[in-house]
Amino acid sequence: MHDHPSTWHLGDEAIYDYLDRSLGGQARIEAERHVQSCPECALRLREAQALFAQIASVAAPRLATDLASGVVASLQAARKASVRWQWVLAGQAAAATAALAALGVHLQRWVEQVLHDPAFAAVRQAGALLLADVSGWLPPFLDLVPSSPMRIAPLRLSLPHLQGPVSGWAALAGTALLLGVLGNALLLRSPGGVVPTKADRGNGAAAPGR
Amino acid sequence: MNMPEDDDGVVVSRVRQGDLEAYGELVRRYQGSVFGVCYRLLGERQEAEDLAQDAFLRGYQRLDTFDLAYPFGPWIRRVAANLCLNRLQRNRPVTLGLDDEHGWRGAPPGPTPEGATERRQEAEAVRQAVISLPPMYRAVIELRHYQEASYDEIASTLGLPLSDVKSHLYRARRMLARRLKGHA
Repeated sequence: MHDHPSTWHLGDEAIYDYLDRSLGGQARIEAERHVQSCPECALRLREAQALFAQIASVAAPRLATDLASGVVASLQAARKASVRWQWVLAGQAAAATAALAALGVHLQRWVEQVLHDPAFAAVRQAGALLLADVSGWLPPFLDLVPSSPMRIAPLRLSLPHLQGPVSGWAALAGTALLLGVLGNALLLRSPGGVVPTKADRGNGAAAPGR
Repeated sequence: MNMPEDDDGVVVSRVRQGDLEAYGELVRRYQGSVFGVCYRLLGERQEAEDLAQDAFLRGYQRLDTFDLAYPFGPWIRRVAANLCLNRLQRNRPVTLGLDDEHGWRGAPPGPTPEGATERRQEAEAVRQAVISLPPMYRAVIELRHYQEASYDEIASTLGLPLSDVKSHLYRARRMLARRLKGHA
């Protein structure tokens, strides 16, 4: 904006800012003074005011239905579903814990039996022989065990408990249930498929009045 | 004697404590204006009702982000405006609703039947001009002219820089002015 009324005019943006009350301080006073002495800007201000009035003339239709009952019903249904899911999750977690505990007890027994199994002693001995055999091919500084080429007896480790159905099924069920618990927990935490918007994050800059 | 209405903040606190009926009270208070936002942005009654309902559900989900120091109305209307804008940007070309007979009010009637008809036609022309704007322009017009949001508030609601808000508003108004020439 310049000082002489005949050589400058308010831009459309300045007129809109003036009407939006975004033009403050000295700029607002200058604009008001200018409009009083410039018929062209006064006309454009009136046109903008008319446009604003036209826009304001549009009202929405009356809402024909009551949304409150539908919204509250949806929320109540979601709450019930959430409680049901929590029970499902708790059940799954308990079952997974029980299955894994059973597996643990079973594995402990199996390990104890294997340690006392003669077959395991044979394996241990075969391992020592294998190490001795391999060390013969290693460089001299690693040759801590005297080389003695020996034939390793075929390993016949009998693991009767591992072949039984209990450990396999318990491991499978426990793992599946744990995965189920994790998956359901993730599902419960998901926001519901609607794109989040910036307005959802808070209302610190809310407009005054209703 | 009617009991005085509780303040929004009091009702929101009750909702936060698990009182769903209290949320129903908030919905009743603001459903008209929220529906208005959706209708002006979408231009179609049924879709506007659906989105208004979604806005209240969304509002409930995000109620923990609501600051009790501010009124609930502008917040929930902005949630609605944002949902509508998301819908418009994701979806479809604009369709104009033909439901004037089902409650479209337009401008208030004039003193004579002829005047009333004229004003209604004019309001309809404005509505059509607004609804034919690109979604973002429609949103800034809605927020500025109907929600009386400041430039800063529009920027924060739509996640735009302030300069974009001003230029969108400027362009939207220029478009409207051109389209409405002759209807003034």
